[in-house]
Amino acid sequence: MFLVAELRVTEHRGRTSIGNVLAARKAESVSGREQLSAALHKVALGDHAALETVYLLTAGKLFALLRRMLPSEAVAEEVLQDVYMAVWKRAATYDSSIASPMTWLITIARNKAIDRLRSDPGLKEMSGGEQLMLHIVDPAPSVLARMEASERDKRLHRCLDELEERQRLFIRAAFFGGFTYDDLSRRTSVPLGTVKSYIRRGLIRLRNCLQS
Amino acid sequence: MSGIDKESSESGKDDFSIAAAEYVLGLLSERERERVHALALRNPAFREKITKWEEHFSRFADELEPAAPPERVWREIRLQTERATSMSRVPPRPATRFKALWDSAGFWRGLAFGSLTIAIALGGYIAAEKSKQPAAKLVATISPNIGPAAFVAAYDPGRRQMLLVPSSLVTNEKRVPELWIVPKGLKPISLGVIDPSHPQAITIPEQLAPHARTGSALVITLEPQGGAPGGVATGAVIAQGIFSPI
Repeated sequence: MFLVAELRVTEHRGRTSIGNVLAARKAESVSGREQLSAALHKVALGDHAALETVYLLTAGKLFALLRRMLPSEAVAEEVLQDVYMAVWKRAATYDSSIASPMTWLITIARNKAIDRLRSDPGLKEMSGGEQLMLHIVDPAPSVLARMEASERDKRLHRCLDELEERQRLFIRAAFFGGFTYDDLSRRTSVPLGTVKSYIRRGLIRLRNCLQS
Repeated sequence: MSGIDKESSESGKDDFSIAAAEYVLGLLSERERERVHALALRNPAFREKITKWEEHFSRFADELEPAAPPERVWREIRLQTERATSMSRVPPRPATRFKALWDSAGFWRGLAFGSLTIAIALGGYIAAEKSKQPAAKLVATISPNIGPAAFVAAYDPGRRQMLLVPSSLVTNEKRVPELWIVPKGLKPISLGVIDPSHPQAITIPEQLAPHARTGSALVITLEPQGGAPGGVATGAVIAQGIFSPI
């Protein structure tokens, strides 16, 4: 006599769950993109269930991004909420012919995080994570190795590799820390003009590589 | 200063591209950012560069392991969105006549908001609908004074139904957008406060229907909460368009 059990993955608060990893991967596969796009279009029509679909597919990735950018879990949770309220309000402006849905969502999330960091001066001082990144080497090889296995577009990371290490770190710090040129200059004690021309040269090289 | 001041074309191209990257990353000071934002509003090629950089840089997120947020975050989102819907002065659901179209994912996919495509698609749909009266269907693309179209409006005189499809309308949080029809030579007539984020159907009252004709202008102003007091426009015009037949 055989016994059959249906195993369901349970979610752990504040920690990665397989459900989220699968959802995030799914959101970025081709069919996942279409599903996400279609859901966003329904959200534009006021469809609450579609908003939940968008949330289930993307909240894991966006929360991870916000936790990286913001100094505390509590603030990250608040901003995550703001992000989906913005999605609810602005879904009608999403144009699938212009942007991929995940990029649209990541852009909203980053901009909300940056707004939060800049409107609350205390936060930026607390935000230690990215500041440390400026003085540490690149992320662990395991991150990149994990990515190798995926089907995702690796151009950015391959082209970043062609930059000087500091250029790479500055650009990554700008993305994950929301730093301005001014911030970077102050935190590294490098003159503003020098920081600007250094990063701009890096961006030009990056652009040329990405276009080739 | 951001890098968009150079004149020579080769480095000028670089500067455009780099300014877009700086904008996306958030490297610019507030003043620089405002200048670049203003450039983006009036230059579609520049907006395209911005979008390309957003796509590229979003790959940074691939480094991140997804993390489950606490359930209370979703609960709060659901609560707030349901509250927003029930408090909305505009019906959240489009008129049933157009429901089938709006429910069709195929219709929405690949439509470029603010472009002629929407106007034609809507017009095509309306034209395909059987109408008792042969009166011309009207379409207007309501554009802000700078930037891409904010709304497309399609009017079906047979049903006195105006379909508004919003695109990218930036509003001030404290003020609400109000739609006006301005027939030639007449004062603006309010069609009510509109919802900038959802498509909506507005039924034009019978006495106003004759004003919805070719050459009539549609205007959106920003008014205090609750709409323009006394039915007279007080706020700035943020978008406008003119009806023309399909």
